[in-house]
Amino acid sequence: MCSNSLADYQFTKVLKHGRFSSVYKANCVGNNHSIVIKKFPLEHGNDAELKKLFAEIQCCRQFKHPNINKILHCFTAECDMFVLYPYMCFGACQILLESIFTNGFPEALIALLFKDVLSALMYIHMNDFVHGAVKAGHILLDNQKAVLTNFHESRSFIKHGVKIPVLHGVSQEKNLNWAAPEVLDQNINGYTEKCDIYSVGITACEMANGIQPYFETQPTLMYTEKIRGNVPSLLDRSTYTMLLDDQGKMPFENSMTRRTYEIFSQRILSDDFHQFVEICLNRNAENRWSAKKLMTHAFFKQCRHSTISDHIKKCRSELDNNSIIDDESMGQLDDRDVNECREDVQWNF
Amino acid sequence: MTVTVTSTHVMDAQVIATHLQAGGEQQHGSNILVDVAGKDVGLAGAADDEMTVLLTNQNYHQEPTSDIEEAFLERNGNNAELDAAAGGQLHAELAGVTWLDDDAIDALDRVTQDIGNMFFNRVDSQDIIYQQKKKNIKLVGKYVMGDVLGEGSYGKVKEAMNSENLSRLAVKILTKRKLRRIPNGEQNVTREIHLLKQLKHRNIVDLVDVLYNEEKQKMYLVMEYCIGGLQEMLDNAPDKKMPLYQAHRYFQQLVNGLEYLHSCRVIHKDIKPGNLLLTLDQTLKISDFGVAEQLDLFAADDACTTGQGTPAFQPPEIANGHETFAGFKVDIWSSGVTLYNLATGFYPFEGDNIYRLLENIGRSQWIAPDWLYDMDECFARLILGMLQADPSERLSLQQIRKDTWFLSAPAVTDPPIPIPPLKEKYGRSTVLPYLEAYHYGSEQEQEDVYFTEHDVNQELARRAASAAAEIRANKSAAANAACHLYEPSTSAEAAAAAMANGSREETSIKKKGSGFKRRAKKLASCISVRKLSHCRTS
Repeated sequence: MCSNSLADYQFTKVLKHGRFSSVYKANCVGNNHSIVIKKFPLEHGNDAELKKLFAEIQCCRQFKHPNINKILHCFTAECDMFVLYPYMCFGACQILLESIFTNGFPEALIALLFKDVLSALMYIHMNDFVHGAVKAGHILLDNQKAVLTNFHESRSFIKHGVKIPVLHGVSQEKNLNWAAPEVLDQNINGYTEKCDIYSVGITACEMANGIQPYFETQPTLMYTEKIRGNVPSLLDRSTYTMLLDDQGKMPFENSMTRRTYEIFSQRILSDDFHQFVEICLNRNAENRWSAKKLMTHAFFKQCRHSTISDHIKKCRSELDNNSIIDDESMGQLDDRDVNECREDVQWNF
Repeated sequence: MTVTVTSTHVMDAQVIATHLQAGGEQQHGSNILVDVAGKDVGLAGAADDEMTVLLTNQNYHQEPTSDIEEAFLERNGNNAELDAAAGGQLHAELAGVTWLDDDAIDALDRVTQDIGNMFFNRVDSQDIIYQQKKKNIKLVGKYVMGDVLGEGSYGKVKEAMNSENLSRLAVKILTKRKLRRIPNGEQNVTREIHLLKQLKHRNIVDLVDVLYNEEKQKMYLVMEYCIGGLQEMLDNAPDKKMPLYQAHRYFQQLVNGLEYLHSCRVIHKDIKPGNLLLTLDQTLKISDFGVAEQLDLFAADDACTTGQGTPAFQPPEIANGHETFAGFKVDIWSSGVTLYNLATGFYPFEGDNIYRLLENIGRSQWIAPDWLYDMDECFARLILGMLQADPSERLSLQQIRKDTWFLSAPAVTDPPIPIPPLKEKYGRSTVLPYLEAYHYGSEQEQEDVYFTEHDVNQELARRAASAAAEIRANKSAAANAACHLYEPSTSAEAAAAAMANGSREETSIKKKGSGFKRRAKKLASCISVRKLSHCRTS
């Protein structure tokens, strides 16, 4: 259903211009569906990046799970490589944190998101893979679900047909803040799929607080902090008020930070959420719960009677008003449209 | 009047101190302070291997000082309070002490060298005071330096960490002063850097960065971190060998690496277990390109003229001193010797000294012993193929790839021999304590620790005595057990006796047993070969 010809795609919008690749929104001319196209120039000789992309495609194509961002198709044309992904209308959670939910997502939405993410992780871990770079920037959101993407740091326990007990290898520089202490340690004991769970914990703090933990911290300090077992925490009334006691008065220059402070010091996140993060951020990898077990945590009780689309509807006004996601299609993208998107992903034999 | 003297070496320092004393001042009660580099020194905890050095070389004075990075020596004119200078009392006197930095030390060294040391004077060991070095963070470029991993003739290898992406690294520190002492030293290093920069392969050690410090006359080669070499693994293994399947694993990677090297026209020339390192995930890395050679792009064949590798791994054509020889086949031979050594713990050729050894290598075609065929016939044939005296008869890498044993998967029998444990308890980066001291320094500002040369000597003497006692005990136990073992009828009884004697004695028997089988082998360094080739040509 996807053609190899560029003429069959109508590029509508530039989503991102990266150092190595550009990401566009496009329409399939045949069925008028929205897709995302990543264009990667092959002639610049950035072999390392290309290899990473190959690895990602190879890895992604082995997966088939509703919460893993699939690769619809890829082809080369005129010295460029094009990779086609389904269009996720709200984009990466990190962008949403920067634009709309600057003080963090609501807890109920986080629970729903993580239910999807954990179900993807459970599937990946079951297949002896480790994602290796779980963070808000790698979780995409649309009206219906959250999906996990960016598998370029993914590693497999299966190597040359043999299952190896532990993995080695360090994370990319920009993903270090989410990395588990045992990954940073780079010792002979290596790490296991539990490193993803630690990243889930850090991501949970990121989504709830609106800012990534260890933001603008020296990497070496972040490392020693993690080795010592010091972990970031969710900012709410139980944790954030301590800052006030230390200072004596509110040390804020502008009203913006003052408002942030007021929100954090007044809101209440559930004990289950705190406990969930605590379990994820356990210093000892063996004591961290597996993705499967985490799915049964009390934190997800609140997901029972709601779906992501309910929450999206609640925040709709905010989303619509925001200029950063000024997508003409987003407002119109009702449930029928989304279903159509699903159906067009078929196997073409 | 107070004169402050420093030196990088305690013995020098003593001389300097006394020399100045001779210049018309008081002779006694001089108080010398020496700042000692961290953990491996003196009271702070000398490692076991340091003990053995001390036993053979009775010089207690020099051992702890060899690790001194910055030695501070202070001569205090006020001798009245110094007579009882020890322990806590030192602390109070420190107000009058002037600490010198590196430059001042160098300057003073030069001055004293110019004057010449006319005579020696005695300094009481109670008066030489060491200060335990604090873990001060040291940055070279963006790399945070850790503990010393090893030391060679060219300089030290330290562990390091990239402060930006937190990857673990090893840094080879080369000092110009030390390089000049090694024949072809600077030339070899330039070549190594040039080669490593173009080589990128899974099985070749990766050169991450090269930094220069003009002021200190130092060069830093930043490489990927390896947890150990095959030689260390063998040295720590009970029989100095590894199971066949483990050797097979490493050999396959060695062949992969060599294939890449040869495709880049590079001949390593010094393949041996000591130059094969392992990363955390047990990937083999070929390292040390100090004597490697890259053929000219337009060279007609792989003819080489110089061979500077390790003697025991040299092929007959080099041992016999041929004018030119086929370069690629040199690496094949060395790999053959390496594989043989990994799997059996022996060397195909041995000799009491380097001349004998080279004579043995060059004399005749090697014949695989019968027990090797018993061990694994295919393996024996492969070794024989790689150890053909005639380079043209010797297997090529392509032929090795098709070899039966190479393609086979030897059965996993015993557990693999482990990589010797690192000093750090959790195998973590040794940079960590430096980082902690840097980031949390104010929390745990350690007290300065001082101790005197006298304390060091006493401690070392105590350890030497206890070690000697242990060796004596072991020897007598071994002799005892050996007596039992020689009674053929009661071997079971002897074994029981040995068991009763305890596990320690048992291991000593083993050691002794293996000693009978194999002569002590000490590999001459590559430098000696070079000297030899010089002899030949001149």
